Amino acid sequence: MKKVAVKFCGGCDPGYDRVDYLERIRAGGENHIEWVAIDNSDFDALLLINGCQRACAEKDLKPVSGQVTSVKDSKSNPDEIVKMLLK
Amino acid sequence: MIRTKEDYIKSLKEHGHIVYFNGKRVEDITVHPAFIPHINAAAKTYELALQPEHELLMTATSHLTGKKVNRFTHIHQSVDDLIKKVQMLRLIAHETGSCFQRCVGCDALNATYMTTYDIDQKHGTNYHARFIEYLKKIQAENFMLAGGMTDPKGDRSKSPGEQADPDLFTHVVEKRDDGIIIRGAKAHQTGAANSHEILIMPTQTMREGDESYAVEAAIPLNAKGVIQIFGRQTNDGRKMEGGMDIGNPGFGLVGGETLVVFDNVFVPWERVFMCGEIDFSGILVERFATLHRQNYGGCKGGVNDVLIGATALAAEYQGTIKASHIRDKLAEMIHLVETVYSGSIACSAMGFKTPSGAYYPDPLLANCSKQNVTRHIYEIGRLAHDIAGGIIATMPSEADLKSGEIGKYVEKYLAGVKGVSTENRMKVLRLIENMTGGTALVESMHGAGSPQAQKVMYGRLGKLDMKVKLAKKLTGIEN
Repeated sequence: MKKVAVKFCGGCDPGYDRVDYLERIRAGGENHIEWVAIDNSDFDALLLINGCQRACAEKDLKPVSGQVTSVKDSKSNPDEIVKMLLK
Repeated sequence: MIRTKEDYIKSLKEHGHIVYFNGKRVEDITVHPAFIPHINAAAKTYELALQPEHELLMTATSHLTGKKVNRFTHIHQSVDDLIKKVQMLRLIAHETGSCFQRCVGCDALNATYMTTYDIDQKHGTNYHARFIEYLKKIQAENFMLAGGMTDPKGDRSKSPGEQADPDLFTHVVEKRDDGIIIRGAKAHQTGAANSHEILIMPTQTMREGDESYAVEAAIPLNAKGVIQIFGRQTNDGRKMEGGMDIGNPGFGLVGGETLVVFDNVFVPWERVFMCGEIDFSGILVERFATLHRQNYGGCKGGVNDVLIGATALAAEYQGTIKASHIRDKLAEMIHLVETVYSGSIACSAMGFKTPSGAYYPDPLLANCSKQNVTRHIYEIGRLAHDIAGGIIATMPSEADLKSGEIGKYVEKYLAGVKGVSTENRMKVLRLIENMTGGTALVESMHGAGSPQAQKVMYGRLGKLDMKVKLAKKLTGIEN
């Protein structure tokens, strides 16, 4: 199981339903991903969920050792995001 | 500490503050239909702060304690904080479709933080240290504050001291060893009925002789002598009926305003942050006004995002959505919303650090942003009326729709496109009516200051002399 943490932007005027999109990623990663809190430093990958191209979740990001995947729209199939997280 | 919506409602139940509506004392506002929608809207400021998908905007780190606090209790520490406030307001407005009231207290806290620092620097007082202790308490308890600036003002051509009734401006009537006694009132107090405290400020620049009116203090709204009288709103009788005719059943319209009366209210010195310093009354007013005007492109932008959505939905339900003039009008509505929003973002982006360390938006741009709101929101409402049609003014009631005798006629003759229920069409039309009716529009006009108040600021901040020089330079005019 790969440990993945999530960070959202604030969601001032998002272009898609960020929470629903994450749920679809979670469903796609079932049995392969363990979702952990971001303040738990022991994670393998970080998923950033942004509502738009401004990508506020990327701002002020503390250095992380694992892979960072930043989502800015819902164009990609959530399964593609799961594949990226599991790389 | 108040964390959840339930905590907030419980705190209001236990508050014991005195509120009147329509001539009667309301013992528990949390179960009264006139107040429930406004409480729900304010509660969103607590609920959203607990959601990971909104945490970045809804919370901040206190510069006083290093702890995470609700952004409405935060002192802006950067331009980024100023921008985040505006973004937060748009976000919450998307959830409520109405005013959620809590920004006014945030703006009062920030204006007071800056100004108490400056007063102390000049006069050697200790207001700032006092205020910091107060602020720590507000942050720790996560209280909701009203920001009390507007006095009733009586005869506008006369100064406070010249009024026939000296109480038409809030003032200090007695100074004691342990504190002061306040008498007067604050008008149009958004959210005060469901706030914990009010931070009163002078309503205008005070001149020599009006020292007793230059008073700033934090007063619990359940203090002895504080009485609130809730204002009537357009169609507020529908709140008592419940159902779809309210338009926005969960969150109502505007913030819910009270006339807050201070009938000889005692305030201990540790809650007094200005007392007679007339030379700082004007800057406090200007700062509070600027911080509040900064907001309007955020909250009204967000509210009108909802209105645009409702209008597009009405057009879809009525079969007009594909008409080119409807698309054009919807595009114009989007243009106007983004225009007011961009003003709020611009004044935040051009914000700067004050001597206190707190950040402050560009005052000229903040005033322009609010001035645009006084105009554009009316135009957005006009376009919504245009697209929705006269039905928003003539539509039968929910009771008619559900009537055993005539419901079938309402169902039949208010139908829109196939596949959409008449009830859904009526719901969205009622929402448009609610969001564009009398009280809702007046808030955009006068909230945070009437249009002329912004024009006065243009005269002071608009650098007209420099603009004249630019013209002279280009034309070669030397004197």
